[in-house]
Amino acid sequence: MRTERLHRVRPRGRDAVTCPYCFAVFGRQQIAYRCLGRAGRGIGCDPRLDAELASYLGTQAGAVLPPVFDGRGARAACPDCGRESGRRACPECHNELAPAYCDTPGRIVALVGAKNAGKSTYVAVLLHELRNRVGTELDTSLVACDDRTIERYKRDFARPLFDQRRLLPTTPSAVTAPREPLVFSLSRRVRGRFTSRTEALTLVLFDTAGEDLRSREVRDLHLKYLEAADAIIFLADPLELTGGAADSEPLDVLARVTEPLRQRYGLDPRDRLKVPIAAVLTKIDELDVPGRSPLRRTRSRTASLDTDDRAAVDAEVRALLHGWGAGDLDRYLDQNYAEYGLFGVSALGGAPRDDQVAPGGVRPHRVEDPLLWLLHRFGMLDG
Amino acid sequence: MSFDDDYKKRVLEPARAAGDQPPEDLRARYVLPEKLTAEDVTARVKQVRQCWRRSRGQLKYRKLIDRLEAEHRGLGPVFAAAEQGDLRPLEQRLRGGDERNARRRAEVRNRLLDAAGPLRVLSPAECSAIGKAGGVFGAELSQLLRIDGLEVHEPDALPAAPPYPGYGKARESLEVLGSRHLLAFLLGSDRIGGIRLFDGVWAGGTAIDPAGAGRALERVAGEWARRPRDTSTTNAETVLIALRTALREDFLHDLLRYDFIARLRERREQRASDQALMDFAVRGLGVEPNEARRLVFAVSREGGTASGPAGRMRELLDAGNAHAAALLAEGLPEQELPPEAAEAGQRVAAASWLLDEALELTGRGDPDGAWTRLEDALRLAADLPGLREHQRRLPPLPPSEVEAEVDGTSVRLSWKPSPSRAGQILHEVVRRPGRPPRDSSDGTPVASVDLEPPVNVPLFYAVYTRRGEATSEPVPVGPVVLRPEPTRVELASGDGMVTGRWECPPEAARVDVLRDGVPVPAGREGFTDRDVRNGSTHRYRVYAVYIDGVTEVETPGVLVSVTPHALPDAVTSFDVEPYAQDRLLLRFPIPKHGLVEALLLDREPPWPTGALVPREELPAHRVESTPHARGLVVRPGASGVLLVVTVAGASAAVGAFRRHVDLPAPEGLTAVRRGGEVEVGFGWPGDAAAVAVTYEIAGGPAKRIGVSRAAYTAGGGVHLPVPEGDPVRVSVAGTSEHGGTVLTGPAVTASVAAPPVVRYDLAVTGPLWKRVLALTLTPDRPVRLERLELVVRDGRVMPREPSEGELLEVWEDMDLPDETVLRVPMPRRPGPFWLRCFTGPDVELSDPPVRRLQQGA
Repeated sequence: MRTERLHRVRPRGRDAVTCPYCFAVFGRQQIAYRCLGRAGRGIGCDPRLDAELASYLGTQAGAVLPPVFDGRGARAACPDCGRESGRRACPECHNELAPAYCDTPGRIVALVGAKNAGKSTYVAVLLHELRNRVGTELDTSLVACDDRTIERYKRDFARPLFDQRRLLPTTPSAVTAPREPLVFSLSRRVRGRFTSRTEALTLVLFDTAGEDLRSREVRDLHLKYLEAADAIIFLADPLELTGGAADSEPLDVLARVTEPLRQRYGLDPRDRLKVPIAAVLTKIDELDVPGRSPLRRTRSRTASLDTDDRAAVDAEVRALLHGWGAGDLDRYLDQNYAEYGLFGVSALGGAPRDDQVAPGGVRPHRVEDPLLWLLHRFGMLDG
Repeated sequence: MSFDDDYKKRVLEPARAAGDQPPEDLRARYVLPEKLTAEDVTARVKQVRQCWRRSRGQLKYRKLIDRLEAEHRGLGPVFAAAEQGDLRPLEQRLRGGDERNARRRAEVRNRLLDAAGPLRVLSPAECSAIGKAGGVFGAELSQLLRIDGLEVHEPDALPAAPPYPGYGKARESLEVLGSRHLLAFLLGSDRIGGIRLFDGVWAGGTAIDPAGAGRALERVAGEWARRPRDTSTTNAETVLIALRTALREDFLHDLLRYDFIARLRERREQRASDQALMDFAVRGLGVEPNEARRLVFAVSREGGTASGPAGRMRELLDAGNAHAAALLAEGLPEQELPPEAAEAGQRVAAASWLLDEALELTGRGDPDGAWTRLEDALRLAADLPGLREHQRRLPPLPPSEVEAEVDGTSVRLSWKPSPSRAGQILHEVVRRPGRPPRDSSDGTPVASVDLEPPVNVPLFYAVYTRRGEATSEPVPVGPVVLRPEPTRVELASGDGMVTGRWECPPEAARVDVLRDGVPVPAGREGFTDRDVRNGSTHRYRVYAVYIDGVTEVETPGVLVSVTPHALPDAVTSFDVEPYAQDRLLLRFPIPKHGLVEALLLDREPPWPTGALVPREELPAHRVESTPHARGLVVRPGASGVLLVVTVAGASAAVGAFRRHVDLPAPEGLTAVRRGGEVEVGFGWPGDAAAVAVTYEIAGGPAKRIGVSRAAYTAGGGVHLPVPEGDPVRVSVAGTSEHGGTVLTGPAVTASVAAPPVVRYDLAVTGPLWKRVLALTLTPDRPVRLERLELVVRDGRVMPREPSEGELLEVWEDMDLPDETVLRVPMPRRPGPFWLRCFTGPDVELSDPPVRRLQQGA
């Protein structure tokens, strides 16, 4: 038996809530409220500049709102106008928190990957699948936690890819274009032996530009995000790995994510990070794999994790990595993460042509596998 | 001599000559003695002022005296002090007067230096003017000139005109040849220097005498004669002619000298400074420096208008009035004749000779030659009596081959231009009704295209040429009679009738119509003809009739062919059904009249069903169609509104319409087996609302499912449940519903093969000391394996190929009718290891779960 101290990434009490926007951790009693403001000629506070929210957004546009105040319970009375408000907000950044999130804070899943690994496309297709085919199969519901997420998902992801069938452009660096995460809540009714309960998984998808992770300075901006994550999905372009891992960018990016996290927690070289990580090879439709390969098959259409299929895919991807001479990636994951899974997905299902998706449209394959594994890990899905 | 006279001579006159400038020296102004005493000064000042008052009566001294008095008022305190015995202010002023005199002399000296410039030469007039302005005269002025070494002499008179009329041409040729100047050309070298131009022409210390010049000329001419003939030779000949003429007529020195003068004058006109002129003369032209200074001084002092008879004569010559200049010269004494007199005489003589020649050419019938001679003569002596009048009277030759033809409502004239080329030749046209124009003023001037000629009138035209005021004889043409046809003739056919309309020319008596040669009753603006048969083409001639005196004249007329038709019957409704692979049958009763066509519109037609519209108003999007016994077979090729129209002649009856959705074949069909399902993808067929996916598993009955576009997008393609070992044939076609009928477009098909699948499992059996590995093979159908390999690999990584592990066991040519169990000894390995089977490409081996493959983990 291997002896090691498994590090608990983020000590968090049952009562703790992590803001999915600024990733501040605070007690449930510390959740703030935002005044409803004045409606017509009635009483209510006038909008004023919210300095904390403006600081988070990087602009004063959209930050002139009724004030934020402290309170307790499902509703709290505004100390200025006396109106009762149920609009809850983060006490740090003053972003509004969905009531469902406050009640069941759920887990945060972070998404990282090298440049051109297909992160934006993966995010767009994964969310689409969760709302359609996979959502039906798993009996889950996916809702956006704020209006900005709804608008951004439609504008930057769904419309171009599914309506106009255009490939998504390369995500600009956070240095030039500040971004905020897409925050979705994936909830599922889990049936126990006698009762059933609702479990929620907060998908905080921070579509990190590849070059941001290559740059040490900008990566620190995202470190808080990774630190707050309950799980990490790491995307890699297999075509970057077929030349061997010695000079592969995915391994560099993974190391640049891993090392600061290790330093942040002061891990001993023997220790491994406890946060589960799903290492995903994208664009597997471009790989020449034999017919017997589990990557050519589809998973069983059930609302559970097929562990045999999971093990077969994991073994197949590991074999592929070692066959390409990129076994370093597998070994690095093994040395630094207590739990990791290897996956192969295809978001588009076919090679695009001239910035347009293939004539058959978006036909995803196995994009949901990493999420199913994580749901199983969090006890939200049977195995 | 009285004091006044003496004072005037010694003080006032010099002061007046200096421009009424009072002498600066008070001792001179007031004639003060050397030794000053209060009494003497007071007495002398009084005496001088009395002299001023007396002299002021003379007009010539008035201005000077006023200035003296004005300055005396400023000196009042000085003389008042002297009168009271204090002479110190006066003595101080007298010393100051010496200083002022010195300053004045310095200023005059500077002015002289400025005027002399780098040439250091002044003309006497300039010198005296500067001395006068500065109050310095005679010996004092000469002393100043000597101090600075300035010369004073008159500038040399330089010839104003070239001695050889063709100097300009010769100069141009020299420029083309790149020769420095005429003398350099004559001597055959541009390197000559030390040229002297006054007192004969010298070059390099050698005088250019006629004999030497002649020898030099022959040598240069010989050199040019030996060269191949080209444009340079022509230019050289021009220069050689000039030099030969100058040598022969004994003005070679003048010509050579004038060449230098002309070049310097050009530079001076270009605002070159004296120093620049000196540099050009010495370095550029090679003139000896002293001669160059003299030459530049003479050139730089030229300017202004010469006065006297010479100036007037130059003015007249420059204005081209050589005759007036010659008359002026006649009135002058011979010794006072300026060079311009000779020029005037020569120009008048040449102009007279040209005039005589022009008169002779006129007599021989060559007005163009005469006009050219007179033009040359006018350039020489424009005021020679009779010259201009004669040129004005020289008419050009007339045009020829004049023709006029009617062109619609206008008359177009054409002619061969006049052969005359001298001067500005214009062609003009006049029109006259009834008879030919007699001369250029007999008729109405018109352009070469007469746009508004009178109608039904015989018209005559005449074309003549004009040069200045002289016109040629008119060349007449005609008569031409313009009788316009009826305009805007439009004929329309109906059911058993033809109507026509037009605009009748106002001058026409009436318009007549013939149908196939038979008169048809017609009014002035139109007709209606009911005596026609549907389907027959009739030829109508519509013509105007004009009255010419007592007879009538017909125009050729406008010819129009018309075919009357019965009105088309509209197709009030039609049904659609699929026809063949990609066509539709539009089913409707065949109308009695007219041909049915199908149109594809992008929106519903603006006309109601049954409306009759002109055929040209229909949209041009005709659908490819074939007549059918029950209607029309069409292939629209795109989505839109399908409209049926019935066409007869120029009319069309609007029929029924239906919205049509085009159903092209889906593109890029792919079918991929993914375990227990087949994933189908394709490009969505046009505007189809849904697709029909038909699939046959293992040749069984076809199953058909409908997939909407939304379902296709949401599902990421179509996923068909197909057992893993069964082949499947999939076809996809777009569908659309037309009024309850579902139309299916052309289908595309793809097949997915199913190689034999052999599932295998690995199980470890037997006691611990004798472990046996049981390999169970389960084929989905009887199959023969050419080779089956069992491979073992140590470590965490599964082997993907036999070469990635060690071969544990091999079976060859093995028949598998059904489930078969093979046993091999379990290998002993120190750590975890993998076991995996491999076979050929014709059979697909299905792996057991990983937990069965991985041992010892």
